Amino acid sequence: MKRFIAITLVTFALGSCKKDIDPIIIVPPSAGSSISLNGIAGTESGSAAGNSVYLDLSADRQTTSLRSSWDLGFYSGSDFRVILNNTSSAGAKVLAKNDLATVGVADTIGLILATSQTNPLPEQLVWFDEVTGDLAKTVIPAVAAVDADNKVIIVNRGTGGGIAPRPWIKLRVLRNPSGGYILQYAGIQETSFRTLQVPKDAAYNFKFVSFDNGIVDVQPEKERWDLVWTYSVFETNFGAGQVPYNFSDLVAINQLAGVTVASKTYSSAAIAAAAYSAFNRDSVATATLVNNRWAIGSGWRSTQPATGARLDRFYIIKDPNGNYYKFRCLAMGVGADGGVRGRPDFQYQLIR
Amino acid sequence: MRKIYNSVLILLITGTASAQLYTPTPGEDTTRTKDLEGIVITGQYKPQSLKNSVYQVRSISQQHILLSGATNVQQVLSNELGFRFSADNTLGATDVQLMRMSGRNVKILLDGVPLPDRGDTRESLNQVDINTIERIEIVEGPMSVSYGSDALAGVINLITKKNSSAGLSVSAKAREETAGNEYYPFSYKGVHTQNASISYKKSNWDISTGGTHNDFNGIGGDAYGRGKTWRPKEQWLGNIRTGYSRNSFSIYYRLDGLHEAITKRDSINYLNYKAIDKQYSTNRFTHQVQSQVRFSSKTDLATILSYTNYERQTKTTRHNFETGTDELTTGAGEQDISKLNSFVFRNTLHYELSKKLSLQPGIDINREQAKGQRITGDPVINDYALFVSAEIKPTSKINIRPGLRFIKNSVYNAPPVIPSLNTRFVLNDHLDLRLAYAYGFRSPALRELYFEFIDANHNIVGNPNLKAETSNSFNGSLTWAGAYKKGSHFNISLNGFYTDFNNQIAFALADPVSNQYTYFNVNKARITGGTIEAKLSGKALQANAGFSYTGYDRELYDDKDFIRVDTKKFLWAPEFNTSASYTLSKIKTTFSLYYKFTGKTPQYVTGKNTSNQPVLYIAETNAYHQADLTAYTTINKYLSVSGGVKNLFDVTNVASTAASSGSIHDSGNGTAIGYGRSYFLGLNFQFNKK
Repeated sequence: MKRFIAITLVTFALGSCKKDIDPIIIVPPSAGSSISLNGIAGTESGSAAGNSVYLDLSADRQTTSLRSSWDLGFYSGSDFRVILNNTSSAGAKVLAKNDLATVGVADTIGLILATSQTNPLPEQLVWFDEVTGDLAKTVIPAVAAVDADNKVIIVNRGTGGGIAPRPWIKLRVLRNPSGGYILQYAGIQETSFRTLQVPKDAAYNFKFVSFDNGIVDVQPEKERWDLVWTYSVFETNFGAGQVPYNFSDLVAINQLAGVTVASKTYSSAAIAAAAYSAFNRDSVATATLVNNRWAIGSGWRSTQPATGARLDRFYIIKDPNGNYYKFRCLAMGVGADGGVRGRPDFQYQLIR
Repeated sequence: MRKIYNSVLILLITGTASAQLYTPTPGEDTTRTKDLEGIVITGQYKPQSLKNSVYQVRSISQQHILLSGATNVQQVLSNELGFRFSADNTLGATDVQLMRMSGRNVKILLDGVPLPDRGDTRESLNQVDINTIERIEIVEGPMSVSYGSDALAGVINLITKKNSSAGLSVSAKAREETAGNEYYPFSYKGVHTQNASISYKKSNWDISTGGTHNDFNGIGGDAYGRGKTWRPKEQWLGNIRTGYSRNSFSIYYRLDGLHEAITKRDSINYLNYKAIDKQYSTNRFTHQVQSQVRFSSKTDLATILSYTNYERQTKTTRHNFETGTDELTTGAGEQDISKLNSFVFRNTLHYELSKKLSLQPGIDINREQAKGQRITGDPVINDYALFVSAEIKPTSKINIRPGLRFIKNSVYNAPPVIPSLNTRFVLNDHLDLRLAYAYGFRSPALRELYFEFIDANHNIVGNPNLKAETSNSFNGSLTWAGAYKKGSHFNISLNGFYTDFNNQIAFALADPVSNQYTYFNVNKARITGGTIEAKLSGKALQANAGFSYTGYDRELYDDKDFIRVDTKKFLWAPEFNTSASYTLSKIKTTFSLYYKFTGKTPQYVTGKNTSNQPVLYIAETNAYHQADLTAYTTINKYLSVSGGVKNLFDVTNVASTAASSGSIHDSGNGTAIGYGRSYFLGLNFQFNKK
């Protein structure tokens, strides 16, 4: 009997060695600043992060604002332009009428003013501002000097990325004789409307308005942000041409303030890491900087296939003050990059 | 943790060794070694020789399993015609395909008791201890009258060992195998298996217990053992059985337990020195009580009572290499426990009215409950079935078996009646003809009825109004069997089959406004083909060879939404297998060779063309060869040694023209068939005392 027990013990002892111990790695000192963006506003999932996060590289500063906190942006430049909230996927349609009082439920029949994640259609593109950020191609036309030329607009405030549905709004925008804009707005069935004066402020790209709270702070002053990380309505191709589609984790540059960017892509993460370290002031000349708002876009990460941060690339960013930075993503919480979804980690360094 | 399992197993083993219980079971197994043809029980009224079975049954003997050097059921079946396995390297699970139909159309039984799985992948097949298996019986075609849901393409019945001889029997095995060219003695790399079992039988009692430890350390990976292409998988398997039998009555209780851990340790992100670890831990316990009562020479009652408890935990952690700490991640589905339990009660009466007519009525009650993320509530399905079959023998040369099953299901509208008709005609002493028709069905799974996955990008719900998937199967076979000289047996059989599958469940858009997706009974498929198989059993030589040619056709519900690039109907693929074992009695050694060729296999897949339009096209998986060479030698009364080479052709991933993503006609990574040529050596200890 002892023999059997002995054999049994030996047999099973063979299988009981400890393995798979991870060592502690001594990490080399960082050559730049790392920042974790606070995309999560509450308890929402990281793929529908509630915040847009504005990043100012020269000040090492991030500014967050709730995507649902604003509805319209009024351009502070010389043109009279109004943008919809792309980060809540708000959609709008211009009516042929110019009297708010005559607009009612009948004018909303057949309108969706939104897209869907499973069956987006090309004809839905017209409801959204053009994604390039070209102010000549917004849904709301340039605000005319003659009040009667400014038509009524119906707005779906947007439910993109888990924003609770809110009642639609009808509105008109006029020029304020004393400078800036006059916004007239009401619920679809209301017969009277509220009026809000929106001044232009040259320190900002836009003045932002919430239908609930009036004028609100969203973007930092235009010289004080370079990039924004956000959920946004965007475009893609589902097989039958371009359709509107909501993306998580988009990165846009502040092209209105003159920020430009160059993408550097390599054949592997290791080569990209070496190139990132070696990139210096002399290398800047080799980079082609563009003012495309979405030059970083969604290309810095992959969610399908779910591999997360793309470590085979980095970006060169020129800020409004002419500083050059190299900029890369460390992790974003998809796949095995070790990050947290909705709190992406970026690293950047001033190129001297 | 491992230490605890060790202790438990050792306790189990040593504890029962000193117990003084015991028994012999007369009956079904004693003829096994004598009968060169083999005995089968799947679908039978009582244990029956293969030749007399009204079903065309394939039986894989214990000797075959032993000589093949397999460490799991999959390795045994992968050499068989009609079987294919593909590994899902993300989850570390492997699914079976039978007759080109995926695992969800195949029913897996352990001694006639269904083994539930949490999804479509038949992981259960590899969650049974191969060391406790006496033989594997395979019936192709639906057996839904006898076995209910899921038995659309066929049934795999794993028959466990029963003590048949009085006395004490102890065995222990240790086996070391390389995984491709990776190996480290007893740990870290390669495949390491240990097994011990003990059984004791005295007068009417028998008791046995056994345990197995399978340790597969994965393949590939970096210096930290991370980023492996095949996930490490470790299994602890144990079983205990105790039985009593006396003349006309026998009963036994059996418990099979499993603890499995699949570890997915991803590569380090050198930009943040963090890595993600996932662990999938599965616990499975199957209890069963089976009894047989013989009331008279003409009446038997067989009862099965079984309860399975299954739990699978997903745990995801983030390891920080700077601090050496781990934290749980919080993403959707990253921490989850899925639970499943199933209860089976089955009572079958066999009543012989006369030599010409027997009846087998039975009842079958199944209860299944599931719980987990993405399942609404704790749904329960109760399924009540009555089945009856008759065996009509107008002459000794004709056997006709009609069967019916009536079902009442608590959740969905089950097909009211399931028919089948099996026949066997003895054309002469050596030649048998079998013709069969069967109707098969698969109940909608709990997950298809109660799924719920709604987030920013998904809106998928289950459909409680689903119907069963059904199949109509026609089968014919002609078998010649006989002795070509004394002590030898030879048979050759020619089979043909046609099966259509209707109401197959698939995803489709339910509501274009809310863009909700759900499951519908929408797809169809057909398979047809033929096989020819020959088998020779002699004293020293055992050999077999087979060829099959199978056509598969698939119709998509939304064909109209796809541009059909190819218009062929049946897509054909060949398979050929052969094996031979030869015993050199002088050196007490048996050499075995197993070979299988799987021909180029076309199938319809969906993708996108260069203009990004959805298309339906034929993708081909390349042909591949599998071969194993093994030797088994007996050293003395107690010890034997086995060794060999597996996957001689060094097959890894088999390329396919199906696109992994994006546009068609670029070659993806293909199907993971194996991890390369491996070598194994095993030591077996056996002790018997009357």
